[in-house]
Amino acid sequence: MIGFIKRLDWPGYVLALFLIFFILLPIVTVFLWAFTEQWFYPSVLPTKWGLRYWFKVLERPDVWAAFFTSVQLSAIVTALSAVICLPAAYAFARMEFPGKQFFMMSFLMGNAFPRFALIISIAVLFLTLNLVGTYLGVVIIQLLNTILLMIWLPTAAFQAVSRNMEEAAMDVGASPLRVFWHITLPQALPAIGAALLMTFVWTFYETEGAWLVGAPRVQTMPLLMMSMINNQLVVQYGAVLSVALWVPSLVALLLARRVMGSDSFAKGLGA
Amino acid sequence: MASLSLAGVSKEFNKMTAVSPLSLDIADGELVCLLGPSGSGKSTLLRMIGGFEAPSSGQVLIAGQDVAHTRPDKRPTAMVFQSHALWTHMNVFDNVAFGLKLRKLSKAAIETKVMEALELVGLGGYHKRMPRQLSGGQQQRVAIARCLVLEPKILLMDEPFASLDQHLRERLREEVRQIQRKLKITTLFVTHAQDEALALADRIVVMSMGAIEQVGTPDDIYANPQTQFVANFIGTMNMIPGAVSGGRIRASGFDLDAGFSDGPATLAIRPEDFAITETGTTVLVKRVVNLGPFLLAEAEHADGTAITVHLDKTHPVREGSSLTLTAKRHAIYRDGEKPYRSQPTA
Repeated sequence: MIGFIKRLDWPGYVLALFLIFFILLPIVTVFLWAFTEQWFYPSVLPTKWGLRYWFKVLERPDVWAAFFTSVQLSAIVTALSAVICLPAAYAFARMEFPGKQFFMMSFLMGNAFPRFALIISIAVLFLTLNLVGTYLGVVIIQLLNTILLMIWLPTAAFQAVSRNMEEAAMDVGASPLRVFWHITLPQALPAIGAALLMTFVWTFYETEGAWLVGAPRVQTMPLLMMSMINNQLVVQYGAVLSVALWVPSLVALLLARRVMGSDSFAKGLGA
Repeated sequence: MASLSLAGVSKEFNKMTAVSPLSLDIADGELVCLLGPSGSGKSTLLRMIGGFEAPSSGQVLIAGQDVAHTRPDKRPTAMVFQSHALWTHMNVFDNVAFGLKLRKLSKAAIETKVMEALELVGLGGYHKRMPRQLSGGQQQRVAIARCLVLEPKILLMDEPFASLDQHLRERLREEVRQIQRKLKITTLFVTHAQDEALALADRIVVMSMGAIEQVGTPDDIYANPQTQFVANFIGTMNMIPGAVSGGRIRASGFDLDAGFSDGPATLAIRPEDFAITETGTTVLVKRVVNLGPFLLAEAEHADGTAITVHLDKTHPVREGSSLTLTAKRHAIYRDGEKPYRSQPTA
C-alpha cells in the first residue's frame, strides 16, 4: 500500500486537478447551460434538459447577421494580412535591409504593451480619421492584431527552407520567381497554412478592437455574445452562443488537419 | 560538353579573401578534383563556376564565353550538392523532370529522358517514390540524375558523398566515374578526401587557404608533391628537420643527396620509400599495426624524431626491436617549397 502511494506522481495529479478546475470545469459548465431548460439550486445537474434556447437563439436575425459579419470580416482580414505580411515575411527571411532586426522586434514590442490601452490609443486616432463605427475601421484594427503572427511564423517557415533546395532549382533553370512558386512556397506552406488558420480564428474571436472601434454599428459574434451575457437575464443565451462560437474554430482545425496532415500542421506550429 | 577556363578568378567576403586570384584550364570531358581541407576555398570556387557566388574579379569561361556574372539558371552548368537538396514535396520523377518542364519539352520527351536518367543512375522503377522513402545513397543518385537529364556542359559536384558511409562512397564514386566516362562530361568534383580524389580524377587541383598549391595527375601529385602542404595533405609523409651542407642533407641519421645551397631544410620520405638495409639509420620500433597487405611500424630515432615505415610481411618486426633504414626516394623542402627531389633508387 505504501509502495503504491509512493509510486503516485503527486505533482502530476495536482497539475491535472488544476487543469480540470480552471479549464475543463468552466467549459463543462457552459456546455451544461447551453442544453439546460431548468436548473434550480441545489441540484448539481440541470433539472430539465432541452434545445429550446438553441431554437430561440438561432431564430434571431441579429445572430445570423453577426455570424456572417464575423465570417466576412475574418476572411477579409486574413486575406489582406496574407497579401501584406507574406511578402514582408519573405523579405525578413531572405533579404538584407537596414533596420531589419528593429522592425522584426517592433512587431513583438507592439504586443508587449497592455493590449486594451494600445487599442484605445488607436481608437482615438481612428476617431480623428472618422473610422470609428465603420466596417473599414474594424478591418484595420483587426488587421493590426494579425501582423505579429502572420510575419513571425511565415518568416521562420521561409528561413527553414534549405538554401540548397532553392539553389538546386535555380541550377536546373528556374528563375527567382519560379523558385519561390515551385520550391520555397510549397516547402513553407504547412506553416503558412497554420498561420492563416490561426489568423482567421483569432480574428473571428477578436473582441476588444471590434468593440472599441466597431460597436454598436458593426456587430460581430463575440460582441453579440457579450451583449447577450451583459443584458439578458437568461444565462442560456450566452451559453448557446459560446458553444456556437466554438464550432467554427473546431471545424477549421479539423479541416486543416485533414488538408495538411497532422505532422505538417504540427510542424507549422513549431512542433 | 565544353572546356572550362578560370582567368584570375578571386572572391572576397567582407574584405576577407576566400579565393585569391587564380587561373585554371579544364579540358573538354576531363574530370578534375578540387582537393583541400575545410576553408581552402574549393567550394567557393565551385559556387562561382555554378553562379551562386559572383567573383570579385576575373573571368569564368565556358566554351570560351564569360559567364562570371550570369545567373545560375542561365548557365550551362549543373550542380550536385552535398546535402542532396532534393525537393521533398515532389516525388523522384518530378524532381528529375523539373528542369525539363521549365524547358517546355513535350510530356512524352520528358518521360523518356527522366526514365533514361533514372536507369543510368540505377534507380529505374523508383520514379514514384518520395525522397523520404529513399536511402542517402539513393537520394544522391536522384540528385545526379536531376543534373544529368539536362545534359549540362559542365557538371559540378560539391562533396556529393560526404554524408555517406565509406562502402557506399566507394561504390558511388566508381559509378560516377563510369557515367562521366560514358557521357564524356566535363566535371569538377570538390572533395576533402584524398582517396576519393586519387581514385576519381584525371587531374587534381590541391588548394589551401584560397590558393592553388599544385595541379597534376593523381600519380604526379602523390609522387611529386611540389609543396610541403601537398606532401603532408596527400598520403603520409615523414617530415624530418635537418640541414644541407656541402650538397648533402643530414637529418636524424640520414645522409642523402641534396643538390642545393646550404642551410636548414626538411627531409621528406614516404613510409613506403624506406628500404631495410644493413647500414643506415637505426630506429626503435614503438608500435606495429597490421594493415592487411602490409605492416605499419611507428618508430623513433634516438633524437626523438618519429618515423612511420611501411613494411611488407616478409620483414616481420616486433615492438621494441630496431630497424636500419635507408631512403629509396626522398624530397627536400625549404620554406614550404620543394627545391630538390631524388630519383628513386632500386
